[in-house]
Amino acid sequence: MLTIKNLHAEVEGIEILKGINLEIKAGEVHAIMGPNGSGKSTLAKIIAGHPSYEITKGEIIYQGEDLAEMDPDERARKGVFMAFQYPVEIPGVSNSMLMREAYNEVRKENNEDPLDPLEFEDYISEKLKMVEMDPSFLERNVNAGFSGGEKKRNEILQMAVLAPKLALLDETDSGLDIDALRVVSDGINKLSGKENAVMLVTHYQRILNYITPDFVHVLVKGKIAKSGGKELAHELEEHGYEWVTAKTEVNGEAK
Amino acid sequence: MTDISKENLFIDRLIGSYGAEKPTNARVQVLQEEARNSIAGKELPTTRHEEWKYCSLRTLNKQTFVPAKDITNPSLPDNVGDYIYPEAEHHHLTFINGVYSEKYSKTDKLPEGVIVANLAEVLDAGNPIALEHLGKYAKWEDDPFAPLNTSVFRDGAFIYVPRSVKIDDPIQLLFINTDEKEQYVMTPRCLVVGEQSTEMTVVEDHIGFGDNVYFNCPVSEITLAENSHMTHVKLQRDSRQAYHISRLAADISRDSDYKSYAVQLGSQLSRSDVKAVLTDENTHATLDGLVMVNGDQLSDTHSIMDHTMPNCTSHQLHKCIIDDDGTSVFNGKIFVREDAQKTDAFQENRNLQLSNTGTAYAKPQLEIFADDVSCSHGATIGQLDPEEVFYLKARGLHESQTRQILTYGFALDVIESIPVASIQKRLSKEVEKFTKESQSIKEFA
Ligand SMILES: Nc1ncnc2c1ncn2[C@@H]1O[C@H](COP(=O)(O)OP(=O)(O)O)[C@@H](O)[C@H]1O
Ligand SMILES: [Mg+2]
Repeated sequence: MLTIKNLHAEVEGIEILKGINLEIKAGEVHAIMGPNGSGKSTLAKIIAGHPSYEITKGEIIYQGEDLAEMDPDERARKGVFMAFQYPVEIPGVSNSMLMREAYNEVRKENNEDPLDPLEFEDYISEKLKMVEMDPSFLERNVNAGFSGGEKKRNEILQMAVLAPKLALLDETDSGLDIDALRVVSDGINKLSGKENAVMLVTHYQRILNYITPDFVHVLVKGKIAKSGGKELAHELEEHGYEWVTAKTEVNGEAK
Repeated sequence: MTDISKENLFIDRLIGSYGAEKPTNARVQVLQEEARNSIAGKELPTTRHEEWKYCSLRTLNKQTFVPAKDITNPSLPDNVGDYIYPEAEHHHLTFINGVYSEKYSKTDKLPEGVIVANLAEVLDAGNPIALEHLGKYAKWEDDPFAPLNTSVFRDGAFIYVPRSVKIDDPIQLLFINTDEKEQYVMTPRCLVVGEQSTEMTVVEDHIGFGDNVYFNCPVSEITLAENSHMTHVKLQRDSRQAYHISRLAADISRDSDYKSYAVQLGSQLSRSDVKAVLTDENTHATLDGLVMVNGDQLSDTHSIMDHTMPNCTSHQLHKCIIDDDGTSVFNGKIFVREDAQKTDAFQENRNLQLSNTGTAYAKPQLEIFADDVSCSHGATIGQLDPEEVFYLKARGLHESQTRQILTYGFALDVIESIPVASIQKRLSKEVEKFTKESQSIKEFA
């Protein structure tokens, strides 16, 4: 589904990603772990198409197409979804309006008729239950005055509504209490299946008690320093990131 | 003796075109004469004048207008009734090119003692309340336009609400300005008097039906006795080629609450000077505004919020959306006089620039003579937030759709604070139209 080859990327002239290689297939869950500032969000944002980040080398192929050629909204309509680490508040735009418009765009892309507000209400009511959110959230402005946890739930609600093929979840677990984490993880589990893939960006090992990744990658200073199965997360939990960081530096010197 | 050099002055020409006809009431005659004398021989202000720095009257100065009342057969569309808001079905006054139209006005179902009538008739009949208040509040330093209106006005609205009366539904004052070959000028005048403990909503709606040049120079005076509540909505949708220069003065007594929402959409040049004087304790005034300019429109709002007594609050949220080569000007003066302790004054001017060629000038001006006050003010000029744009695009919305939605979102809080549902709907449509037509939004995509 997604193939990243030797990806180099920069923001404001500073190189952040320094040669990433990653292959994500349908049905897989990949956890991207790593210390703060290692480039995890940059990787997610560049796949989603954030205009501040520039690909300087390498490529990202999604379902056989070069993502660099696509605007972020086109990527989204084709099934790429990013749950933001810091979802922005949008005054004056109601949550329900955003989600209906967004969902109808996806439907249009799939040659389906748009839903009117009533039909959409039916559609979204079960999604709300999944993330245990009160319907009153729909009438509020997007993320406006939401608590940190509510914002993260709202991201997963949007994921549920849009049913993406590739979900990039950027630290959706950070800052959640255990109950909220369970709700969010359950939601993510329900939404992942054989047809779609998840790239789970996380700083903490905790969420992996609820979501079992097929692969774990450790990102250090813009490079994947180590990849492995789910057991890698446990090793990291035990030894901390220094364990990987130290090893890469040794490797670096040896070269 | 005529001074030849001054014969061509705009103001003199304009007043001259009205001829010698006088109102019947002697006091009004005096008022008009005084006003005429105060501006006779005066030039229009130029941009060298501090208050007119960004608002040039050069093109207005060259224009010639005939009094709108002299257009005997206005080309009236047949759907005038459509412009009455359903909420105002039972009480509305319609003016066609500033001339009162009995045919399109209706004032039934008003509570006992309430007057909603053509000001000219009320003054002719010598109504003492109207005579007492007329001309008392609309006064600005160095200003030719309020006196210009006073010099020649005839028709307009008089609204009187007696003690302890509440009018539930809004009263609409509909100003229909027709498409004519001749350039005309009108000077509608409104006077609103609310006695103690009254409540009302007044909607002033100026609509141009063509793209023609005309000059709309309205003046409104509001006076509220103690413990009254008034909501005042003004919608300026004059012709794209019109000049709209208006004056609004509100005089607000103890425990009263006056809320004004002014929306400026039309005119090539619109200039509003608004003033709220909080004359006694525990008074509140809101002067909120929404401005949308595109093409080469200029919209200039100068406000004065005058706190004279303790424990009063004021609110000003002035939002402007600027597209193409449009210009918005906001100059907000807040006076907090020596006695006005515990004043709480809020002022914010936010400008959203959709194009790279628009201009916004913002100038808050605080003059505070009391020491125990809380005054906040801020002015921002900016484009749509790129992070918000990205967020919506990352959800699959097209660039233009995103920009439309965010622009709408920018305007929404002002729209939502207007307590008349059909005006909210009308304004939503206006914003939608503005953003859909926006070349900057289209080209961005
Ligand atoms: N918009 C930006 N401008 C400047 N520097 C940035 C920007 N975004 C990220 N960076 C820098 O890139 C590095 C990686 O950031 P990020 O991808 O957010 O890391 P992570 O998500 O792993 O914590 C950091 O050093 C950060 O300061
Ligand atoms: Mg991050």
